[in-house]
Amino acid sequence: MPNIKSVVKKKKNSEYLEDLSKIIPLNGLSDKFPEKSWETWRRFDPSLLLPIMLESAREGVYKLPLLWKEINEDVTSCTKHKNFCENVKVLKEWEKTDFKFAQKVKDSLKKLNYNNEAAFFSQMANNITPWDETPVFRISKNSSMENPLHFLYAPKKDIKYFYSNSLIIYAEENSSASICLESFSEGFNLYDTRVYLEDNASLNLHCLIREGIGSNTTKHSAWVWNKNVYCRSSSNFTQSFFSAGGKLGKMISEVFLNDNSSAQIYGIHVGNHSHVDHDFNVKHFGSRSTSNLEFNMALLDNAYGVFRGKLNIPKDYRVCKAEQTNKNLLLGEKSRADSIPMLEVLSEEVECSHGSATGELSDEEMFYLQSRGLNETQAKQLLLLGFFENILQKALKHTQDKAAYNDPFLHDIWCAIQDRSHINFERTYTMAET
Amino acid sequence: MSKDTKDKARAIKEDYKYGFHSPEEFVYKAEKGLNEEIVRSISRIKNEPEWMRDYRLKSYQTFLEKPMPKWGDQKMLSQIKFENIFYYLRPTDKQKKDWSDVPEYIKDTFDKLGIPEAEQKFLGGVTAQYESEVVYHSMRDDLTKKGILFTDMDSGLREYPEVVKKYFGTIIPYTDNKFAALNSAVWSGGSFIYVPPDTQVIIPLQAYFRINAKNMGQFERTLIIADKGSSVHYIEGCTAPVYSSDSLHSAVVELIALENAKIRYTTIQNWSNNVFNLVTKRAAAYKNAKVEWVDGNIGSKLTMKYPAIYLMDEHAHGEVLSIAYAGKGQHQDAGAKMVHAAPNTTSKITSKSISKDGGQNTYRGLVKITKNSKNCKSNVRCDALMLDMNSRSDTYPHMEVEESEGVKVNHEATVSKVDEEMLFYLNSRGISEDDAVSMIINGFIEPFTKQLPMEYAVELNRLIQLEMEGAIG
Repeated sequence: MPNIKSVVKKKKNSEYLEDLSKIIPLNGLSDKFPEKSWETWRRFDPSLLLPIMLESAREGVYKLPLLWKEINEDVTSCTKHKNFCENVKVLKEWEKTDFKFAQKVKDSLKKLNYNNEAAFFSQMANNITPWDETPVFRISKNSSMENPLHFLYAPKKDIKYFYSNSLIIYAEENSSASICLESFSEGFNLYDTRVYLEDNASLNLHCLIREGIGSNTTKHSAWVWNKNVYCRSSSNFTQSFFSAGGKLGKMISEVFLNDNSSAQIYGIHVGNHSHVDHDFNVKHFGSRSTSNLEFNMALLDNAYGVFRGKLNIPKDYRVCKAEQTNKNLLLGEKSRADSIPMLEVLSEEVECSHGSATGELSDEEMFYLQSRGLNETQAKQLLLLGFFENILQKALKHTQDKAAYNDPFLHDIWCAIQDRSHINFERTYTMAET
Repeated sequence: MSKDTKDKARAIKEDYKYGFHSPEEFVYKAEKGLNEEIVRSISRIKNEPEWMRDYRLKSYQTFLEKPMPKWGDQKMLSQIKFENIFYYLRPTDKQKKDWSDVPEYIKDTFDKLGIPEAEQKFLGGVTAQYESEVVYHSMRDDLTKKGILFTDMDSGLREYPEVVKKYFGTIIPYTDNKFAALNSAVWSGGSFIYVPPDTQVIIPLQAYFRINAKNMGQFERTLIIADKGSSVHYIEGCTAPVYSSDSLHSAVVELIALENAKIRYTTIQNWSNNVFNLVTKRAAAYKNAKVEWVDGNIGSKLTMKYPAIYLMDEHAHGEVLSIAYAGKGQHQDAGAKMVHAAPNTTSKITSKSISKDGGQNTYRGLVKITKNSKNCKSNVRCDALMLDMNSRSDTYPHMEVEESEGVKVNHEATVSKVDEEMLFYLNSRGISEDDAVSMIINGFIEPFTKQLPMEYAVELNRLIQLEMEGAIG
């Protein structure tokens, strides 16, 4: 494992707790999350994470290294991107090579606002990786990357650590790129991703999280992914999010839109003995901004999935369009879904809507497929894939993305649904090592 | 709209139609604020049994202990000054059965509100509550003969203590929330209805609530029990005068629909814009029972009201149909709660809201399907109309599904302004912009008005039309 440096050294219990308390403000937890109210209702209680956090931290707290690949249309042969090293540097180094750019990044950081919860996790990530040491991925002005870029977080297998990863993606004017962040880890994982889009920039961001899938540690794994996106005028942001595995998971996604900008957010979650909380926040701070949020969950066994989407259109911003859809399939006997799609509209000339549906697989559809000669499992499989493919089709709208991710996504989804042990480790790990 | 209606519309916009007030006359008025002694004296004046006095005292302690809600419109909630409110005011000594016996100034008020007229025309029974006490009560003879009990809550407690004791506070315990505790401590008035098995009350029963005094708190308590196979439709209406200081209305309404029973509860809330309307309403529906809340919120400063239905047994059905209109300085924080606690239960929530002149509408709802409640279906629909840039509309629906077998939960919501295409179409047909907007709005709230008795629907349509006059987005 290259470049892994333990932030908290393994010591005796008491000493290690002292070090850990510098990272996780344990004592502050209850102050930061006051009594449950309607707004925060059913909100994931972060103190649930504590046992897994502490257990993993006991093994060591690490900054996750980034591995990257550019994916050509032929997925099997991945080559290292030539210019990559020029585009990714920690902020400190950017300051030496391109002071102007570093300054821009620092200014952009000030514009990102967090709610209580996101601020807490962001502070935690920042304690491990200070701003100066955070890698910044620059998509330079007027450039357009032909092939999607693949970032991979691949720590050691079958060992539970406390991992933290922070990344800043900065897209300059008129640029366009497609990026996939794939994580495949165990223990406790904390991701902090910030995205800043300048005018006319366009970014497709695909996030995959498979926490402990395929290993026996999934029941002791947890993850938190904190995402904050700022879109300047006329920019376009597409995000797809696929999560599976882990015992506890928390996704916070905040998108801030300016004039004429648009955001498409697609998400898929497969739950299996897990409690995962998805929190989407879209703020329309610009006229003529549009957003579309679609999120599907399939919950197996005793999985508990929460979707909370909040569309906010403040006063004085006109002609905004915002939509959100949430569909949940309950497949397990003890599975449970909470759906909380919220609208906050303070403006008049808007078109806002949301829809939510929760249910099981339709009997009629099952019957139809079975009458055509499929057995029950096959019919179920087809319907489930249909349930997700609808979203995948929209999320992977660029041909390169489709070529690179469509099959692996579907494969992963299916593995997550069917049997965790079938997941293709080879793909992930060969990529990490070449 | 004719010229005459337009004049009226102008008048209503400048002045709340029901904003007049009569001089304060009373036989007993408790001192300002609340303490244990006041709770005791209310119970003493009413000559209540011991269990009720204890219940009030326990509730009072709970009221002190419970915190204010941490959610909702904190700015408005913080304006409630519990110490400035009069908790009990007894306007007359005795309840009357004939309008001519009711004191002149009270009768005047209700005449202006059109209650006696409505009673003759289309109601089966009327209760009129003025401040803390019911001043007038009557019911048609044929209904009395059927064995239907319809009295005010105080008489109910006196005359049918067993029934009241059996059901009182079973649906909403005094520990439920701060305002339910407050109501349980100082409740006075309200309606008590018991419909015997297999009895249908075809003509609606009505209660009318009026606050007249300044800084008044009205805490009526309503309990409706529909026995097996019976049906009843109950309507309540509320108004109050306009004062510069605020009044508080905090009711507790409990409905119990036993096997195969049907209850429809209609509220036309038109409080003046200085009334805090913080109400707890809950129903329990047993096997095959059907409960409907029809809820119109037009007035008040801040309304926080989430009619709930607990579907306790198989094949129970719950429905909430509500419209909210929020004008200047108003916040209508309304919604519905459906708890599916048994298999094969169904529910439907339809909510329509209109915001204008900086008004704020909030839909807050919950649909919960508990474990083992198989084959439940629920459908929620919220639509909001925004008529100008200063208004606000929020939607906070919550869906919790713990059972997967045969469960279908749907939610849909939209927020928009008056459709320009529709407006253009109507304009092109020679209809003025004002009229076109009010036509569209009448269409928007139609599912609601359809559920009201005819006369109410006409009145409500007119009211909305008047409120909307000149409201072009």
